[in-house]
Amino acid sequence: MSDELLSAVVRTFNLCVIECSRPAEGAQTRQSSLRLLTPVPGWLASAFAAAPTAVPTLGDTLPFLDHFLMQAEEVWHEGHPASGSSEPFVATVNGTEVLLRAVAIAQHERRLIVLQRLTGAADVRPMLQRARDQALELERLVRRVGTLHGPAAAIDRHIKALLTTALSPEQQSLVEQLRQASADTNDALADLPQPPHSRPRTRTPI
Amino acid sequence: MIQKKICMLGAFAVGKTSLVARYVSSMFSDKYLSTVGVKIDKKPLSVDGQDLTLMLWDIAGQDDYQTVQPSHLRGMSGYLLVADGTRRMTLEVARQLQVKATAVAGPVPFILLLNKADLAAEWEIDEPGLIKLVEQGWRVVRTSAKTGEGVESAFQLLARAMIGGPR
Repeated sequence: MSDELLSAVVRTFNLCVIECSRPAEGAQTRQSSLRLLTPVPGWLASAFAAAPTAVPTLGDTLPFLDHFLMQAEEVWHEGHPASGSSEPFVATVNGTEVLLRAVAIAQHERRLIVLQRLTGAADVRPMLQRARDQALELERLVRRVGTLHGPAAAIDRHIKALLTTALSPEQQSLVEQLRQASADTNDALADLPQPPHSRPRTRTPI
Repeated sequence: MIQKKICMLGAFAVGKTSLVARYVSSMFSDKYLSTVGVKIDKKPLSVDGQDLTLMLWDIAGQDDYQTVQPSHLRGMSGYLLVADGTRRMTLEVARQLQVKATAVAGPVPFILLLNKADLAAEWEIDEPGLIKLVEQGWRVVRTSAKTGEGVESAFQLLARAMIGGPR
């Protein structure tokens, strides 16, 4: 693959490739051995605005990188073509929160980190947001259902009490209709999601 | 300067991100924005004359969609367990995460934050359950990221516990 083609791929996929040289004996910091192999991607440009070659300060913008370097060491330590990926992480770059993923690659003697900005379908934030908003709505519904059981039981008790009293045939018919409506309501309530103390529910282990 | 890693742990939508935003930037938004993965903020502070930088790891809430990665917990000096006082089940998630955190990081200091103290009328977490936790040695602080109640003091309390100062 030509350099031009490779550059286009790197740009298209929002990638930033960093080489991490093995720290020299007596080196003061691990960051001092980082070197950019690709042009600074647009989404990261502001981090380099003040000092275009300031890879050593990348950790200020992306503090997660310092943590990931420890994971990367395990990949690089394997010493043969291997790779390991981080979970998605969020960084604030130029006031904007961007979702990123870091991948450590060992390629022969070279120790590489690829940073990718996750956009489009790879950015799961909107989907997760919707799922959690719905989960919160469900929690609210469950709590509301929990508050309905008391009044429903009270209506049942009163209907039963009425049925033990002397009623005219017309009243008897009305109370019987009430009893049926109450039974239907209770059936519908039982079909709704219940609070944990009403019905045992399985939990997802963590 | 000494750096200390603190993790924010809890169920989703309990206010972890809002607590960090309140503490670091004195900001609050009512809009719930779900966190994906992890986001790290820094906050310098002074505790008993000692300057430190807190590395605040805001870790995505635990639920069916995301689980807390043990690798994110390694190296932490302490953590804040966050529960939403208006949602009882978030206290159970906090209990589970405390077990997980202890398994990964050992017995490091932690504080349980009962967040959303401004919504007292909707409170669901009862006192007897909390008393049991306190008897087990848990420190519990009521907070409100919205009003700022208890936020600064909770971080200070944890920082002091991490550097081994008086409680």
